[in-house]
Amino acid sequence: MKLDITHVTTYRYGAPVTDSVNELRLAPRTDERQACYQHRLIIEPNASLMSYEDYFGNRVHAFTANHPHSELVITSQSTVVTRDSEMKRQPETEPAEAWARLRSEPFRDANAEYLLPTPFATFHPVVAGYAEGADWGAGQRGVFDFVQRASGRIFDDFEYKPLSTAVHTTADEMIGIGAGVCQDFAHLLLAICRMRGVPARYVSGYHFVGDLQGRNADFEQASHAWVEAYVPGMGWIGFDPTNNGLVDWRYVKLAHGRDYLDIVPVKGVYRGTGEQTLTVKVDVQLAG
Amino acid sequence: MLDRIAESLFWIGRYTERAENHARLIDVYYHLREDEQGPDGQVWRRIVGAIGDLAAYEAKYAEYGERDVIHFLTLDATQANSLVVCVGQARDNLRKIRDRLPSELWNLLNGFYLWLKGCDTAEVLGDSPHQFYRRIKEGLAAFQGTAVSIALRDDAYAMMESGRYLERSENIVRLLQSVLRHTAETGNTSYAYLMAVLKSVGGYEAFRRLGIEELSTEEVASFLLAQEQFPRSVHYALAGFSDYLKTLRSGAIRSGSGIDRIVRIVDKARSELSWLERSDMNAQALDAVLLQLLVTNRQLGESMAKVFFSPGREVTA
Amino acid sequence: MMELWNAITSLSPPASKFYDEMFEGTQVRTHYEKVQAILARLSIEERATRQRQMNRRLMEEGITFTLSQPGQTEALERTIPFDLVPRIIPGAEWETIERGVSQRVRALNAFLQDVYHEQHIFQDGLIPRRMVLGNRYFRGEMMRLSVPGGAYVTASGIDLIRDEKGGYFVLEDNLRSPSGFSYIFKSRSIMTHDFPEMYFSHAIRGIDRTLDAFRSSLRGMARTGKSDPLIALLTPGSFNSAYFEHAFLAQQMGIELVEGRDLVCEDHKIYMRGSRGKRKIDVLYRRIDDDFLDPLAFRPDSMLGVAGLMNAYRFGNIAIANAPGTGVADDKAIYTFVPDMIRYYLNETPILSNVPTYLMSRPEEREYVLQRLDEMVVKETSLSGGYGMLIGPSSTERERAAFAQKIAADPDNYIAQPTIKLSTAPVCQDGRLVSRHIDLRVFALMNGKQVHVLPGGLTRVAMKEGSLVVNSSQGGGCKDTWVLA
Repeated sequence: MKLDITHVTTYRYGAPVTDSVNELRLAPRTDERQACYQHRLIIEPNASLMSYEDYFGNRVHAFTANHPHSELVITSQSTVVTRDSEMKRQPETEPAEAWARLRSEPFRDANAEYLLPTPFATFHPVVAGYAEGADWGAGQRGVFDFVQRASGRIFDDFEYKPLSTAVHTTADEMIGIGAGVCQDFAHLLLAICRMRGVPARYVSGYHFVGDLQGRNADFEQASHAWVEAYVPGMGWIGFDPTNNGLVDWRYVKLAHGRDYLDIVPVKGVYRGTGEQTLTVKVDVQLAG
Repeated sequence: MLDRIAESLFWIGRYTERAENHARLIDVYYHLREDEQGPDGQVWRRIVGAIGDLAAYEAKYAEYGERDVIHFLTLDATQANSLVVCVGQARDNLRKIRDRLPSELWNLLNGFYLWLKGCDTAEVLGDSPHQFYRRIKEGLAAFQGTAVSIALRDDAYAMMESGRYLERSENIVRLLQSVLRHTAETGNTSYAYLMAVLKSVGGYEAFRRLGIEELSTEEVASFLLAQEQFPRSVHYALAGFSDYLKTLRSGAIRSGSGIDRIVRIVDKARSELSWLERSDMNAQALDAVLLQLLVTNRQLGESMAKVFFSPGREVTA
Repeated sequence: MMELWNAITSLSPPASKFYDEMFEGTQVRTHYEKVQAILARLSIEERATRQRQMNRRLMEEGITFTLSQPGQTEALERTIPFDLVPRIIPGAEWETIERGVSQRVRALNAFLQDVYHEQHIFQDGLIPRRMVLGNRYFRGEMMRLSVPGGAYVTASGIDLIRDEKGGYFVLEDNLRSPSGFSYIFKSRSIMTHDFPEMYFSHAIRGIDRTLDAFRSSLRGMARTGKSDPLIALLTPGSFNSAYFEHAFLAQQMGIELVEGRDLVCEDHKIYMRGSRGKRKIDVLYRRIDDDFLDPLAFRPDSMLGVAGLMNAYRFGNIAIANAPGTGVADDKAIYTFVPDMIRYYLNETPILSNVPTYLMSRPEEREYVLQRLDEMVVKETSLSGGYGMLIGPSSTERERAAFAQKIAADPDNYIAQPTIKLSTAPVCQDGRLVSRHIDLRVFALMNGKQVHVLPGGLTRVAMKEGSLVVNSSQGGGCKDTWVLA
């Protein structure tokens, strides 16, 4: 499917600010499941962009706006062609062998970054307790089933509730709250996978729901986060614990990293008033 | 030069100058009391009035006495204008930017501060207070002399000196105000008192050398306001301040127009001083002139902050 | 004269299990003979007076560090106690140290270059990849980033101790922003001015060239054709405990001393903004930790750094010394691999040995340590997590049991070393000579290819009898360190 995405981030300041330094991770990635046809960024006030590929292979754009300005508008437009991840359903490696592979030293070394805890995807005792509190089927079942069940379990146990958590909420805090947004669901699934030795990474992107009945295409839905876990024999597979599903053509991937901190879509530092308002508008449409 | 460095340099100049003025004043007033009539407390009250803050003193002590006053003005670390605080402020500012001035200057000022901080009031009064205040003057003179002798004549130096001269101008105006208050309170001004005032700024001999016959309040005021050759006159101080600002302007890009404005204010004040007629120097007129000069000084201090030391705050979004 | 001789001979005989720098039994070592003769000419009072004079000068020159203590409004300014008896290293002995430190720094630098590029050392199985990737000082931002001149560790400090036979061992590498340079220069200045008859009776290798070497190392990193690149030292500010050192280095090298708030990033270049307009900084010698360097890239709450610095660095518009991410190489677990690095990268035999160190992630070493925890010092590494340190000889049965559990639960997080040995040297206290433990921090400057080692270094002294803690924050003192020419 071909999707057109417009993502507008607007900062308004109480008084003119200066020396604004910013980094964006808003360019869709290209991989086996999606191809980014075009992407462009418009910055107001006008600024020259420099770009680089970060440690995780994400495309990063950086710019500065030094002169006094009371509004900063970042518009990101892209066209992306996606497809269902055909599940490369060459069946996953036989369970015992798959788990053994995950436990092997060379494998753990090669995937170290996606196996270690992070401040968000913490191995806090509360998280460890939650992970051990149920039979996830590890052992008899395969790795794919394990991740899928974990994802489903999180979907069942937690309420999706906008504004119930903040941008800095960690996995253990979310368990305490009992509810969260996609970012929190993803962090918890990351922690559970990693504690069991399954490499897992945080993914940011968009979820197209505009054509579905009874859903409105607001920001909370369109701007999304999920998890990719490594399944021996299949490779990196996308799981969405917020919607209890697998990643399909409706998902557009922007970036991945160890947790949210690695992929913050828009971040900046400036000099001036703390008085600022942020508005984000995301529009995803089927290209005509 | 960076904003915060400019600011520190400016305050080093101001605080070392302020400390010197205070030490000179305390020394002279202290020895003046032998001549004074009336209850002892009056003398001490006048000293506090001339240098410190009467209200702050009275909040702390029930009456005016030698030991308390000397402590209050000299070694009281909680008192905004005491000597040890002025020297400490100069030293803290130098500590922040000590790479910008020769290290000899830092060693001098820091050693001096540590000595002063270690003194106690009993020591000051026990030995000879005169000896003590002379040591203070000498310590500060060593600092300034070394700066004159070895400091690079760059923006840093000009900034420090501009602080010094602005402070001097303000201190002399305040000194003259206290003379006027004294005259108003006592009805007349004794010869010894006026001589002491001149001596406190090291200007008695200069005053005599210029052949001024009468030692009157008017003549002394005129000398301290408008004498162009005496380095501790308001006129001279403002001229010095203006010169250093012009040095700062010669290479500045950002704040050229701001500096121009400051220079205009100083030069206007200076030219008004040159026009002062001795006949105008009655108490009332003098009072008005001094008030106006205080306003000008304050204005200059604020403009310096605005032009040179503007701060910025960082926010993460 | 006799009184003094008594003072020296009544010096508690160095415990036989430690090496003494000045005495061999009751004999004075040859290279300390003049020191002994000169000290012998002074009375106890004279020595005490001299010592006080030296420490007063340190105070007056503000060679202090600040200790802020809870409940105290004003931070305490302390000097590091300075000892008038120099530490002397014979020329031949120094030659070994110099070559050994130089070799070590070259290997560590090569390791960093490899970790942040090709990662051959992981592929060849010498070091487990996760030990580096999981290290809290590893910076993904540094991957594939080209570093000017290939110099990651422009300035480093290698801590050496001596065993009972006098052999030198490396205790620790400091590759982030080691401090102590300024004390070396001030110590030397104090000895020459306040104890000239001692100083001038020896032929000692000078240290002044080191500041030149330092400046030229920094200058060489500038990625610009400018004949006069702008070099700045980035300090956390005058409240930092090492501020004196920052001001000293900036002044002595003639470079700018700046704080984060003085800097601004414009189009991925870093400028300092002053009354004469803005000037682009070409080389930044930073004395703040990676975490605080750039609020955009690292800790967003940092007020000490400058936003956009990492991107300026990435795009080649500024050089940073030391490079971000050098902390992975001075981690306690990585330390054990340095001799292997020397063989691997340089194809040389290590000149200086490590203190024997056991990695708890290796089953047989773990077993060995767990059986003799009461003789061991167990330390946490810089991997995420980790809970403290165990000093075996002074621990209780219960503490050891608890620690054994922690080790078993998370072996990657721990290393163990036998209780270390530090040599002793005479120290003057109230005019009398007493024996105290010392170590040596050797400073090296590198420009990517060559390493300059400062002749001597900082001898740190544990001022309490029997103590092995030489850190200045815990009351440690220092000595001027002389390399005989």
